[in-house]
This record gives sequence, structure tokens and C-alpha cells, in this order.
Amino acid sequence: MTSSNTSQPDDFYVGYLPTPSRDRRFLWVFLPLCALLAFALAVMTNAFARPTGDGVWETGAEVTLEGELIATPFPMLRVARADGTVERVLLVEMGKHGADARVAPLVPTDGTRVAASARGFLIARGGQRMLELADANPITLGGTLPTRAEPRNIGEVVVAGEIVDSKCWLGVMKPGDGKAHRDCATLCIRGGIPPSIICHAPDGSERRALLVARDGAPLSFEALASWIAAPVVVRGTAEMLDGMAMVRASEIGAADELERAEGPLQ
Amino acid sequence: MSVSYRAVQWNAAKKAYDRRLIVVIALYFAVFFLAASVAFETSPLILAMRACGTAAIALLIFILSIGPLARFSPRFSPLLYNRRHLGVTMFLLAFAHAALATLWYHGFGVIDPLTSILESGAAFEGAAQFPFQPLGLAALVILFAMAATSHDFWLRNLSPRVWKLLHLGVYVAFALLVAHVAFGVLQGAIWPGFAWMLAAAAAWIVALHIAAGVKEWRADRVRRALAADGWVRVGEVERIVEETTEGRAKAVVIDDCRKIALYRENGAFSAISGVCAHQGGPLGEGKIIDGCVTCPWHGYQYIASKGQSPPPFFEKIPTYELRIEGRTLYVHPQAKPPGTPVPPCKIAGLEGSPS
Repeated sequence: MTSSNTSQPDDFYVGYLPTPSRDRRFLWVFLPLCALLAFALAVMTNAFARPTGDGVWETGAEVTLEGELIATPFPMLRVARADGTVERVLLVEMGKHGADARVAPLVPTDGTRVAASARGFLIARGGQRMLELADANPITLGGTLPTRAEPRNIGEVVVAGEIVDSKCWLGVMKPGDGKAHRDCATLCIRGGIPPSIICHAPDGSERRALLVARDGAPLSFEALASWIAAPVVVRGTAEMLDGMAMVRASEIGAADELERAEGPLQ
Repeated sequence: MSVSYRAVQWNAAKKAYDRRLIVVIALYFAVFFLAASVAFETSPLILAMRACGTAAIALLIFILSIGPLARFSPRFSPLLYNRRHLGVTMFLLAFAHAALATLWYHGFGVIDPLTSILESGAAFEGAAQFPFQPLGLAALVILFAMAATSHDFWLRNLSPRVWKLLHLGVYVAFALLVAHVAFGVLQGAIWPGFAWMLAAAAAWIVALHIAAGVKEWRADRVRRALAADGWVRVGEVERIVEETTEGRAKAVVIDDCRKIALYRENGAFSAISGVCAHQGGPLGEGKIIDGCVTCPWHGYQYIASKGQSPPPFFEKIPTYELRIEGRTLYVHPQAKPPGTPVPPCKIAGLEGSPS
């Protein structure tokens, strides 16, 4: 608001009048410095970010895998590799949903083996694979069964690490661990995505093991909820299922409590 | 100031201000995505979420710095003028961050996203498990309330006092956001520098506000003597004339908190409230332009001897009576109702000049 004969002194800023030259000169130095600080923040946020691993989620490439359909403890497909070995590929639905409701009715509880092919999108990290099932009739019964193999017992273990949902950690989320991801992991596990425990081997490499109850059944969400994405120690027994590690947990506790009781964990 | 409401009262300064703001934010996103493409691999959605979040908090720190900095130097006034656009932009960035986080982390599940946020960390133990999402949600609600009421329509209808009180909520929002970051993403950070940066930013904001407050307090603490009839002694006329120039004011405080601006115009002094009716700007630091006291914050104008804006505008502020006894200037502590004309107090021998 001004009347006629507007005057603009050179030392007093009014927004609707020309900016005084002193203010203009000052801002031409001050604002670029602020912008540079902000750009430095952008660079540092990324340069010092936690590594996210080499996981991939191939949403654009639908694939079909054939093998033995397994329903427990979690839906998976035993797939024969070209070299004669067998890998276990976890099966999940789209979103944060497990595939139990779809797979369980297809697998008899009397131990009869079921051959099937599953169609979907691969999620893979460090040589471990998961298949996110396509949305329309993704499982077709029939096909060739891979050779039978018994689980290899490893024995008693104490694993210090973090409980994550397998889907995000394998490549859907990057990162798929840590506190920022906790609610997502909680929602995934609540929806039936298989939980895993992630730990670091002595050589620094990451290891993942499926986490189940002592009797081999899935752990209840209530038993896991408060431990997800927190530093934990799991005691139990471990076994290998066609190269996929699985820990049957007899006890889950906070890592710092166990450290206090027994010294630094290895 | 206006006689009617418009969505945005654009002028050249605001347009230039907003153009530069958009360019800087666009460059920030470009730098962020470029740095990410070199440094590590993640999804564009998570990158966008992080870019929005970091940009919002950096902008909030900048916004909170402007006010106290302007108390130390008028060179920061151009930043103050259009601060509301910065605030609304910051809210939009924060909202985009929250929307992406809600979609990606809390969506596609067996419970609805809002329930997932509010249930977050229901069974937490200790700082490492402290739920950080509800803190961010609470801050976003405050920022939304501020952005939604940022227009002068709300300023007038809520009253400047209530509006200002509501907008002081930004400090609560800032504290919540510091906690949101500290208990959230920092818990998984592998570089301790991030924690130091956040602590430094919080300390900067607190220190800057304390410094500005101390400066104000020192200026306001002058005790003023009362005459027998209740008038308040401002000071010797010669001294006040020395301290002021034509078109400028001497700011005084009476009763420990009431600010009065004594404007020198055409060889006389007029006393008006030192608080702008718009957003409480410091009228004592304004200047008479075109015969009107002009607020340094947003350029609202008042005729000093009338305590009201020139027609067609209708803002009014309280006025005060002045008198000279001997060589001493006194002000009557009883404020006249806003918009009450009071004849200027002529100073013998003091010549005026065009402002």
C-alpha cells in the first residue's frame, strides 16, 4: 500500500517497493551460502548412508519356476538347479501378505509331495531368491519333482542380529532393515511374510536364516512383535533346508541384556 | 495490507522470492538424486522420501533463523517479508515426505496405514525402540494447522493474538521433528556426523532465540520515572532529538512490557503503539514513508497522528498523548483506543523535512 510520490529510501526494506541495494548485495552472498549448505546436506545424506545391499526386485520381468510346493513352515518352492542341487524359493503375495492362504489348500497334510509351477516376480539378494506371486492364478499344479532331501541339523546356536521380514530385506525395500523400516517389517510379518534373522558372519558378510518356533511352526506375531528391527539374540537350534538356513528359536532376548550377562557376543 | 482478500497478493518481490525458492529446491533434489546415484542403490521412492524430509527440516531451520536474525540486522528483512510462503512450502515438503513414508512403510498391509503409524512401537523399551513416527505425525498436524491458517483471512478472523499463539506452535513442531529424526533414522545411521549436525542445528536455533531475547530484554528493561500525575518520563527532549532522525522513531517500553513508538515527523513527535496490528511487527523500527509509519515486517502503514491506516485501509493501533514539561518529554501511559487521533507534540526549534 503506497500513495503517490512513493519514495524508497536506500536503507529500509518494504516488500512492495524496490529492494534497497545494500539488502540486495547482502542477499546475493548470504542466500547462495545457505543453498550451498543445503546441497552439502544432500550430498552427505547419501554419501554416508547405510549400505542397502545388492538385493533386486524384478517387477518388470515375470518368471515361472517349477518344483515341489511346500506349505510349512512357510510357502516355498523347492526348485532343481541345473547342477543338480536344489534351492528353496520362498513364495509371498503382493504387498505385505504371505501366501499361506493360497498355498496351504494345495498341499496335503499327509506328506504327499506336490509338483507345481509358480508365476511371479523374483526378489533376490546374495544368491537367495523369493518369488512374489502374480495376481491371477499364479500357481499351477503338475510338473517334475526335484529329488527329496532331508534337513541337515547344525545343532545349538546363539545368533545375535536383527529380525526382519524376508521380503523387504531380500530386495523390495532398500534398506529393508533398521529402525526406520521397523513398522514396515512389523506389518509384513503380521501379514504373513516369513521372518528372518540377519546376522554378520566373522568375515563381515551378512547371513540370513528363517526364524521359526522351537517346534518348527511359524512364530506367532505377538511373540515376535516387540523384537522386530531391534538388536536381539536368538537361542535355539539351526538346520539347513536345501542350503537355506532356518533357526528354531527357543528364546529371543535383547542383545544388550545378554551382553551384560555373558560379555560381548561373537 | 488490503481491503479485500486474495489467495496470494503477488508483487514483484514475492514473485522473485518464490522463483528463487523453487529453483533452490529443484537444485536440492537434483543434487540429492545425483549424489545417491553415485553413492548407493535404493528405490526412487525412498530417495524422494529422504529428499523431501531433509529439505523440509533444512527449510524449517532456515525459517526459524530468519526472525531472530532480523532482530540483529535489517539486512534480513527481505527474507522475513515472504516467510509465509517458505512455511507453506516447507509444510508441502514435509507432507510429501510423510505421504511417501506412509504409503511405502505403512501401506499395502493387513491394517490401515494410520493405525499402523499410531500403533508404532507400542511395546517399545528404551530410546532405541522409542516410536518416532507418531512424533512426526504430531509435528505434521501442527504444520498443517499453520499452513492452513497462514492467510491474512485467518489472521483477521482468529485475531492476531490467537493467530500468533497458534503459529508459535512451530517451535513445538521443531522439537517434535528433532525427536522424530533422533529416535528414527539416526538410530540406524552409521556416520555419527548426522547426530552432531542435528544437535548443532537445534543448538543454533535455541542459541539464536536466546540471544535475540536477551537483546530485546536489555532494550526493554529501562525503568521510567513517573510524574506526580501519572505521566511517564521518556527523557530529555534534546537527547531524544539526538537519538532520532526525521521519519524514524524512538522505541520505548512502559509498564515493563508495553511498547510505544515515538515518531519524529515535521518537527514534532507522535506516540503510537509499537506493535503492528498485522502480525505484531516492531513499529518502533519502522520508517515514515509517504507520510505513513511503515512496519519493517510487511510494510503495513499508519498515519502516526491518527493511529490508523490511510483510506481505504482500516487497520488501527492505539495512540498515546505526549507532553513537554521544561525540557522533558512525557507520555501518558493510558493508551487511547485504536485509531484515536492525537495532535503531534511540537518540539520548539526542531525543523521537519520531507520523509
